[in-house]
Amino acid sequence: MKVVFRWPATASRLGAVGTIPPGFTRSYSYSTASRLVTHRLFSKGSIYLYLDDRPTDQPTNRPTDQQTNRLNMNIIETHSLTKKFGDFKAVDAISFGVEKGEIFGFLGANGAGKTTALKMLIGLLKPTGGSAMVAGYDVEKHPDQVKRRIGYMSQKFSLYEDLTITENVRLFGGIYGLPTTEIKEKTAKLLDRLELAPYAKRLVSEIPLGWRQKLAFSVAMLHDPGVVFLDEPTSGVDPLTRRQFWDMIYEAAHAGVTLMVTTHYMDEAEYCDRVSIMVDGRIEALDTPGALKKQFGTTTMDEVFTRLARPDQKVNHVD
Amino acid sequence: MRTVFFLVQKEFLQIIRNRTMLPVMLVMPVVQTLLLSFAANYEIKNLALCVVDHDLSPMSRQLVGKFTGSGYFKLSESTFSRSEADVSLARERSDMILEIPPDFERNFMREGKTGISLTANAINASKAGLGMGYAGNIVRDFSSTISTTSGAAPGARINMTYSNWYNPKLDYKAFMVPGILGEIVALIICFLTALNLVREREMGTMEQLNVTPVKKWQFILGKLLPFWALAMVMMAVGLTVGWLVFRIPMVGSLWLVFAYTLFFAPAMLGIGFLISNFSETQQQAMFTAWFFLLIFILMCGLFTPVDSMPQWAQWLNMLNPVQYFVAFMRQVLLKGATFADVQQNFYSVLTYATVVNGLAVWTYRKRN
Repeated sequence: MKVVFRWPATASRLGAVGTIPPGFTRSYSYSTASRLVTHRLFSKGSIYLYLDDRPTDQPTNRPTDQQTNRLNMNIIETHSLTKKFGDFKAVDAISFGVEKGEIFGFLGANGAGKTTALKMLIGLLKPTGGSAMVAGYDVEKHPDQVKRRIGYMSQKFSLYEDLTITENVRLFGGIYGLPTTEIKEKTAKLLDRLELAPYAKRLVSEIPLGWRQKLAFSVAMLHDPGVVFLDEPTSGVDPLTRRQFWDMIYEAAHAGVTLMVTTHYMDEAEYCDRVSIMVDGRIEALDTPGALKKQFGTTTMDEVFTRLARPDQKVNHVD
Repeated sequence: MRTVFFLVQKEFLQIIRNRTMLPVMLVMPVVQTLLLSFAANYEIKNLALCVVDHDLSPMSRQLVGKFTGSGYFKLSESTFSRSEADVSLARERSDMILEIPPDFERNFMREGKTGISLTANAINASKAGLGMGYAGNIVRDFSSTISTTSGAAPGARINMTYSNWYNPKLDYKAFMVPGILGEIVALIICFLTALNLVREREMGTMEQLNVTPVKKWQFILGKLLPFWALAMVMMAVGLTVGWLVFRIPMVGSLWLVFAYTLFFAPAMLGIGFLISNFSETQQQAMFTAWFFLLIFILMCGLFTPVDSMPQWAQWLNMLNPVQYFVAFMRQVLLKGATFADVQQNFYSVLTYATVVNGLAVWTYRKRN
């Protein structure tokens, strides 16, 4: 595979996210064997990362759902997954599949059931109905097998703030059973990657939020999990760090890690390979951002979201 | 076990970094032992005594002299009218009235039998009781010296029956310190464990650990071990203070004391753990822990003897871990009890720790 980085003449590193420039079309092409095309739009007027020279008009060879089941088992798969709290159905029989290496956006208004669904997948909540397979194991029957293979970054920052960066990495490395030498190697690599080496011995509480989020993501990736769940990883993070964060997500996806991301930022939804939108505990829409926009006849995900989340209201879209 | 090692290491790092936790654990036993032992003792000095001496005989004066010279009583008033004395008691100018009847000396000499009356303000029952106890000692002492030196009728005595053979030197510190020490260790350990765990829940780090393959027992052991070690350190600090400052007797084996603490600490840790399992916030944990600890402390035998509680309370008290500890400490440190004497207590605490920690593991949920 050939990787090409193209920089438009007008590129500046910082810029608002927006429309796709001419010659750059989004595509979500995969092959079952290896990831062939990753054509990413990072931000308007800034970095365009073009990871393949394959013509973008070539038909994608994403397998259909049925094919997927036969050829390439989904790494996350739910069947009528349900969570009831008393009479209230927080998650109402959702069924979906996520492929290996996919960036799967999990959208929905507050209280739509995203976090509840996510927590069932990572074994923090017990489903009241249906089933879910994650990384090849049933979350109900083999929660520990699942936990060994997944990473999780919660909405709330959840590294130990009174430990240093190194200590946090060592703790989580140790918990996942990494050998001491590997922990040391990974710590060095992580510090290097995040440019945090000067802060290695600083308490986590002393470093800024954006860095902490990147650190938390790296820690969640420490044991090389097949699937990583990110629950609103970028809320409260500045735009630049947010973009760097997404760089990390792409890097992980490129390495074959599946990422399930919940977010409230619609520009981030655009970055996802596929997006599901939950409304009142149900998945109301699930497709690529492009297809969803087409389906709803809009130009932005923002509008798609608003229509679904509040179908009874006329939408005044503000860009 | 390697996982547990990492968890314990992390816990120690956090304890060392915590600006309040370590001082609390080291300073609190010292301050509390000092403060409570000096302040919360039953020794009463300078009880205000109002004397109503109707006899005014050498013997009655001698008796009053015995009272005032004992150090426990000071003469607040001296009168010939009982009603005046009653007023003095009512106005709290006096704590006790010693009334000596007119024929005090005569009756003693002639009939070998005489009486005095003591009236105490019993609003503070323990103060009154102690005053009576002191008085009883003084009178008994007085009567025996008088009857041998004065040539009174053989077997002459003053009628005042009171038995206070218990702690004659009234050294309450020796009695209180071991108990207080046990109570403090129990309290701090239970509180710290409960709060520490709930804090992890509040911070979200508990959730993070719950998505890792950490087993329940690993997690709990990772919490138990550091606090267990701290309990031992606190015990050592407290005993040192008790020995240096109060010279509390250490008749029994210190090894036995530490061996016992090794069993006792997990019982309190387990209670803290159990409380945390049912608390969402540190506030909830505080209230719940306080509810139990207050009962534990008030009923542990430190302030009121367990034996004089009603039977149902004594049964209930079998659930009070602190009570075992206080009893043990007194038995071993003061009386020099050996393992054979206290093994029942050992087994009780061992059972307690097993049950409580079993419940804690059972009710701890990695998943809701």
